[in-house]
Amino acid sequence: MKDFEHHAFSDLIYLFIDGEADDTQKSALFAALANDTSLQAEFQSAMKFHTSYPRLTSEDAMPPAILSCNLFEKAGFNPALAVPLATAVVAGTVRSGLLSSIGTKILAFKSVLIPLATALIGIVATAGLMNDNSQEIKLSEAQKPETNSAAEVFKNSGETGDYHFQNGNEVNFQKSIATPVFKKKNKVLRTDNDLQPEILAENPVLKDFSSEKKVSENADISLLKNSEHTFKTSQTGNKTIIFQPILIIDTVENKVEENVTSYVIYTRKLGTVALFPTREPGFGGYKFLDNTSLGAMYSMDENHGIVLEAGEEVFPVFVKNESGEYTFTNTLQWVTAGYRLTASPLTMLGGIQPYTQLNAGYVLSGSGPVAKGLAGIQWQPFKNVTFSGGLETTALFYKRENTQKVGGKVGYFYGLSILF
Amino acid sequence: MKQLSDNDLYKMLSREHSIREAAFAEIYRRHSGRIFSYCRKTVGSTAQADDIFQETFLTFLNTAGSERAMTNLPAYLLRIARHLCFEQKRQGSQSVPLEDIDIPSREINSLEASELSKMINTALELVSDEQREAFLLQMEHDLSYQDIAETMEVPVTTVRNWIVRAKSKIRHILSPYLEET
Repeated sequence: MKDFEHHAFSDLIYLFIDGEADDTQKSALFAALANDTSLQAEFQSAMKFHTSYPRLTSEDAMPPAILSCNLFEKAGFNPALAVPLATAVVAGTVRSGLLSSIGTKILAFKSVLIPLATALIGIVATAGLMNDNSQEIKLSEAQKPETNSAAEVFKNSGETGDYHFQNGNEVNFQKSIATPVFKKKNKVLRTDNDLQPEILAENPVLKDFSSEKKVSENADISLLKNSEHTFKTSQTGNKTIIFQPILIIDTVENKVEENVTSYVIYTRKLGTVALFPTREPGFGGYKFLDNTSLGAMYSMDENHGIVLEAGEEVFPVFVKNESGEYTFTNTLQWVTAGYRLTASPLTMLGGIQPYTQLNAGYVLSGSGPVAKGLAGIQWQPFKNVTFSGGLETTALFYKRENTQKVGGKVGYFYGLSILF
Repeated sequence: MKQLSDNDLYKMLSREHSIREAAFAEIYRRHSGRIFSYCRKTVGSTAQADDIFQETFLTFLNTAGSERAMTNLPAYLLRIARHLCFEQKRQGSQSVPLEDIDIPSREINSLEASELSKMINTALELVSDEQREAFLLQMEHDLSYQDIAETMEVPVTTVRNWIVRAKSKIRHILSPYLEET
């Protein structure tokens, strides 16, 4: 009964503070307050909350000037009347009819620019991925084939597939050599049209390749005498290798193996652009390790990697503890595992590599599962060092009153990787 | 014009064009911020909120001029906006849950108020949609329980219950932090 009365008086506190209590209720509340210290404390707390609440004033959320101008135009009124409502800078823009028109067009164009920018990023990323299969090989002057005989072979053969001649002497091979694919333990996996050492050694046709009139469809053009080829070697960029018919395989393996990268450790700093539902990050101040993650990646080959990552980042949320109380948490600590897809270096952009990464894991502070999606680029200025940057989205799953909710975050990151 | 009451301005909307224009501009100056804030919070999508915001004032303008007395113009505008927002939610699949609303940032000078604002925004996620709407209408739009009841089309006792529950819960969540300040 006493609890019930206390509960009812608690309600009266809010009615009183909101100016909604009638005289009878006020009298009852004051009488109860005189004898109940816990009610007094509750009253003070409620009063403090009421007075501390940052109320929204009309000026806090003024509509954009262009929106006001459009509304006045639709209503058949002079748009200039809406101008004093806007800020001085914006008002200066919309006061002129011409500038107002330009401003409206810019806003309208925004909806086109974003998809265009997205498409451009997609094209660059796709070009990077496709670049993997379109390497161009040019022979140096000393390494050019014997023009007449070789030219006839390639020109007249309908079986030569992807390679061809340009300008008489210069040989320009495209897609002629299968790019080695690196598997675990840094072994070279050869594709169908690649050749085994024993085949090379035992096949007289292949040994004396340049003198033959016919070239088998399965023959590897890299067997051309003194030919030169550029291989991609995981994240370390390109490696040029000189091929000679007999020594080709040893050369490939020796040159390639020393450049295979299997392990990467990296660190990232995370920045916040927006949180959904909207809230403002950063409450409580930043600690040194806030918005930082540390990760390790195992490269299965030059394009695919498995990552393990842990980090701490600002993500304000209330977490319900075991006793049912909500605790405000400004930063979350999380551990995730994920997959990274890396495109081949874009030679036209200085070797920059686009990549994307998906992570899923759990928040250690108990909010729930967390998922992350990254899209970025990396650049390798040194043999074992890579710099990266890009956009990151985070989804945090949490429960509110037995209902599953999702909070989101859009941000950016920049990082450093060490390759082994 | 600034000394006139909302009711006086409302009556002027039925006069000739120039007076109607000036009255509308003054009404817009007084109440557009709150209506704009409400639309953004309720709809979530910026483009849709802007459309509804414009539609609210155009609807208000088209229905003005009747002989009825306007006792509470802000509540009337909010009621129009609320109907349009709910109509939008019923029609479009792009509406977002109320907890995903965009709460506009406020100009707050003191650090304490800024921090409290952030915590309140986050704590508001923990109350029901109805409680939150009633709470925000009361705390941010300064509407009375009666006005909120008319706006939300529910009994006053229900509004009172929602607001008390919302405030009690939010205050309870924030009490450790309120004690520190």
